[in-house]
Amino acid sequence: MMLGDSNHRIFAWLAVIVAILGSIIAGCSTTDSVSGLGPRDSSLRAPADPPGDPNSSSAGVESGQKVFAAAGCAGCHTTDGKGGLAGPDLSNEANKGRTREWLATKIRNPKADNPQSIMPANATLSDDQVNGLVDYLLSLKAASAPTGATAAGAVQGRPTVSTVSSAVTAGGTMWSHRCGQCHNLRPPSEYSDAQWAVALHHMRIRVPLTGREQRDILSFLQASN
Amino acid sequence: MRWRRLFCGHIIILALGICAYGAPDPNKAGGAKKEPGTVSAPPAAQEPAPKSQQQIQQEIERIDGEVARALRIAEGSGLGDTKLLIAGDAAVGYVDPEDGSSTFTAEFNPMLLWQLNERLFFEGELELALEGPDLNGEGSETEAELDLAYLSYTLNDYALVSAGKFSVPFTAYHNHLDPSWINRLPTDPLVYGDGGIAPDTGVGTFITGAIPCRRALLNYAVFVTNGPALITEDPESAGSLNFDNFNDLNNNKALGFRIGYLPIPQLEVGYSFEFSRPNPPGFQTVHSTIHGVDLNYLAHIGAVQGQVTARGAWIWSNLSDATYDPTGLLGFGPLRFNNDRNGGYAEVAYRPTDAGERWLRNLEFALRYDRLEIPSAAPGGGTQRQWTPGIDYWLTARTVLKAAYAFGESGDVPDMFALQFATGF
Repeated sequence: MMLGDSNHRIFAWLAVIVAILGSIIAGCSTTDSVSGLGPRDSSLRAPADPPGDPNSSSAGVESGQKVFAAAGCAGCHTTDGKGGLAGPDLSNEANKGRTREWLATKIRNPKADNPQSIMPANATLSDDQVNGLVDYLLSLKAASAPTGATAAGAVQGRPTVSTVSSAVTAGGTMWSHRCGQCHNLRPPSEYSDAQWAVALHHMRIRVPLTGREQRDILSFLQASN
Repeated sequence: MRWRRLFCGHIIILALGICAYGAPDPNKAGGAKKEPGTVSAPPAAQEPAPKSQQQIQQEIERIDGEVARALRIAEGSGLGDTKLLIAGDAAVGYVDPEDGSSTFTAEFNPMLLWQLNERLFFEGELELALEGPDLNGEGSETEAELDLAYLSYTLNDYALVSAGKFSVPFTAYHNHLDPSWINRLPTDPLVYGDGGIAPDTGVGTFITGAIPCRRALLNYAVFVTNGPALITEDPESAGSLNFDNFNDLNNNKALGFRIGYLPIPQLEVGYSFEFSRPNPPGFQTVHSTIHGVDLNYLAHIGAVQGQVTARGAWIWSNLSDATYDPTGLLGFGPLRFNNDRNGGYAEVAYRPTDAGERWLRNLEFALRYDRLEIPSAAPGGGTQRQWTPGIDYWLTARTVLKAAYAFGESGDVPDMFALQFATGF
């Protein structure tokens, strides 16, 4: 094959080689990289005794951590460097000056603050669950602050997330990464369950996705609309 | 004895039934005739006794059963597993080239997505566009085209087979990135636009799927199409490939594939290949070989408080040497040249998604570099280079107002200002 300009040829092949080597190194690494292709329980660990907010409690943090996992929040939000990209990083909410009231309102009715928010409303969460989530989010301040408690105190092996919520969480992460890679994410509420089923089938052909990715993302969207 | 017991049992049941039928119904006003002068019992005495927990549970189960039955009836009266969705995109635009007339444009691309059942799927897309004069100020046209029409069957979790008219999976652009509400800029990269060197749509069949590879993901597509057509008689484009050809000219199909690798979900690198014999009947045999590499990366970078998208592709196209207009009857031959065409683009976009102000979060800045090398001896030959900075404002997640200015760095590519309002639906 004749390639015309040899400089471009060399540059292009170098770029390909670097990209492939980088990909292989990143993909085959055994470290806990941000893959998003499976359950993300490891990203849901929190300090055992978070001192961030005086109104929070260890029980509340633990409870909130479980709700965070079960509700699939990690699908869209990053905490401790891991999670989805559709929503903002939540590792540092306390340092942003968020109050408990602001966070609780945001969780229940995301459009109250921003009418264009694509975050689904969490109207079915109880007051205790919302308070737990707020405790958990404010506790992350300690984990992310340079001088605060470190992740060394992370509680290992909890929580156990059900299979369904794992699929929802994994689906949310994949949705934000795979779909968000090409286009902005439309609010899940724009489509019904049946419409999302069609849209995901279409995207499985175009992207393409595996059958499992299709099902997980669909689980997330149908749980969020 | 057994028959006697059964007979007696039936008699008892029958007697009880007759008694029950004849007994007055206390819940019916006319169930018992009132004797003159008698006084009805107070209403409170007719209220049923409170239900036990077990009765309530039974009632709930009965209601659940009825709801389930109603749902089955509702589903049965519909279209079975068939699910339809109309999606697509629409855009209106304005372009003002340096060396031509400014003009408004409009396009509408409705897409019918039809899931016949869990495995069968149909996609059809129309492309309707009004296009003003080209960069030379010549002509205007209304374009109406069946852009896509293919049927797909899911074989398993890792493979689907499809046939019809489809977007050829050669690099990622046409399959993923060219809808107006996805493309960050109002214009297509040079290699994918008119006169580009990348396959667009084709008629044929393809198998596609994805396979997990530890933490990474591998996706693939293998396709067979009728292939492109070599332009041999047009003095302005002889030697280039017409990818809008949908008939097999010489009973030789185009074969190709794309392999994509995602080490992490936000990064995809791909390699594509297509081989074909595009010469028309009566013209000498010409072989076409096209290679392509592409990259698509999305990252949230805390240091810049926002989201960064990086995309790019490079394509090498080689056609075996041929002599165009060998007799000179067409007025531009005999013409023979080394027919290697290469080109690509690199694009970076940044959106300050972490900004405090909403209007700032909705802004996106994009910059693209294009390059297209055509043999200097070929019609329209030369190297085209273009820088296109642009700014977008996202009104919603799928509605965007785009403005860009393309700086042409060679004589064949004029500067151009472009505006576009695009939406996906």
